[in-house]
Amino acid sequence: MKKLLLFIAMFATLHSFSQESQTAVPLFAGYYGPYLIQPGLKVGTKLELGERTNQEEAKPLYLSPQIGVFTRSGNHTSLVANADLGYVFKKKHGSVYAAPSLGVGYILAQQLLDQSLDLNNGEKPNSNREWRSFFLPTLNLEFGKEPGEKTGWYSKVSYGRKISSLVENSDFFAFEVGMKFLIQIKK
Amino acid sequence: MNRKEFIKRSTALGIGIPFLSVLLESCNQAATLYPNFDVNFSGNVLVIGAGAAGITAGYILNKHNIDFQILEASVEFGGRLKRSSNFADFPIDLGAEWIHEDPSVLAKLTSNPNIASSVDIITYTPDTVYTWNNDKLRKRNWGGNFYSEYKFKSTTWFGFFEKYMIPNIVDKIRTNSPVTEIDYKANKVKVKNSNGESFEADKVLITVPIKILQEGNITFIPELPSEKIDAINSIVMPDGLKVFIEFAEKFYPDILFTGGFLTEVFASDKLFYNAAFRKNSERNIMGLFTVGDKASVYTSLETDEKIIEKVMEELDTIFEGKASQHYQKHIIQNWSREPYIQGSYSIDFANDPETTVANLIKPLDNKIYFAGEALSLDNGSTVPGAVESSYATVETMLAN
Repeated sequence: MKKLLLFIAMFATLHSFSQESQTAVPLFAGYYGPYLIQPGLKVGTKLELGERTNQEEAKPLYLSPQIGVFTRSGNHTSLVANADLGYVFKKKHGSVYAAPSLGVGYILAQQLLDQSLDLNNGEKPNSNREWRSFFLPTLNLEFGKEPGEKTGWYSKVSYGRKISSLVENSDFFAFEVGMKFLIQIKK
Repeated sequence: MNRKEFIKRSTALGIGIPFLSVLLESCNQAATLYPNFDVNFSGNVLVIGAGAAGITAGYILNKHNIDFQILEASVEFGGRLKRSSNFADFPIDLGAEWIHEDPSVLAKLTSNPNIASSVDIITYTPDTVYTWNNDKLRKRNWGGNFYSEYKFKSTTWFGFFEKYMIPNIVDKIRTNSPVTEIDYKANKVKVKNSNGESFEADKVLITVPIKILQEGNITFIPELPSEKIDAINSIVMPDGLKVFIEFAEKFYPDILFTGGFLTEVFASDKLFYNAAFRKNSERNIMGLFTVGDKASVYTSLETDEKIIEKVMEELDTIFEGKASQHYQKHIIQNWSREPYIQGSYSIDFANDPETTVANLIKPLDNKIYFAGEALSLDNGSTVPGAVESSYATVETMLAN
């Protein structure tokens, strides 16, 4: 729980930073599917750190902090916090974009090890679980449409490694799709 | 491969079909017990075979106060449920091992709301998955996300039946009684065993492995109808083998497929696995499970010594000699050599599965009935399938 609060505090800090520097804060929320079949949700924001432009294109550098949750029913429930750093490629006055990025993240998983089954009714009142944590570097590729006056959309694929001291490392891949919003903040 | 075969093969061990695993996980709920049914029968019943289906039949007959006896060919009840209690510091399933369904099915199998007992179940989601393919050992640990099974933590399938189903019927099981002849031409069915003993019953339920019927080990008088014989012969029950090896160190993953991940996970016919996974044991016990052609490579060898030599040679190649270096002991269960089993379990149908099973299930003169894992269309190859088939057949039997 302490770790979860830490994630939320980190997210809130970044969010408040964005509020000070922008009048419209981009937020996104969507389906998060590690290994395609483990359903989850993710929310995040995107902070512009700088921009390289020419007559045709704009290439803002961005940092995108995100938090999410995903599960494998009867197996684990996991919290994820990550931040992606990358460039957005888009036409200068367009809204459709592609955004390759590098990400670093952390997964905190509650893994089900075994459970006790009541034979009179088939219910499982007791279970034995353990906490597992993973470092999560990823390569990401995102496509989408920036929110115009109100909403846009995005889809993202990620590939990386789940690195742990408790169990062997493994490949990680995920798919995301969701909506983007612009939240207007008064200065 | 048709859909049924696809599902059947991939659920044979509970491996395979990632999406099926996900569906299985989503069924994490309380069991619906088998409903009680009306009984319009007051005679006696002979059950042939004391495997999962035969024991279940006895369990239900006992519940309904029907006079019955179970004739078991071998020295002990269980059939393809078999346990080794002294190989490791936990009991090992030498036969059926994985639960294949949501564990709540165990409550359904006993269907006794008065049982005040619980059983511990392991969630078998491997942390390490390797493949040995084209002479290369590769880590495919992500594969653990597409694999889900359940196993008993501190008991076995044999132990489950022994504790929850056998106690009320143990006096009715006659071991060392291989049936050789079933004469059903008169009102009463006459059954003979190889010891020359005769038994009479109003109804007979046959639960022996399908291979025993295919081999003609039981003579029927009159001969079985041709549609019944065709149905029996159209079920494929290939070779089967399990080997357990104890090593001084754990140099192997939780699951090792000998082939590509996707092909092997769907074929489900051979894998090495960590048999001590989440068993609260410090011992390093590797299991080898194989059925079909891949099993025949081993089961066709003349002796257990040659089988373990071949397995060790294979493991030494994969793990660069570590198998021999850390070997301590082994145990082999060659199901193809078991005289009253002669193979693994039903994995396929030569003809249409629905027609085959329908022809087999159909009672003969309301006197001869059949049950077993091979007769379960939905859960064939599995213990829950054998039990389900037995419940259905006994209900039919007692309704008449």
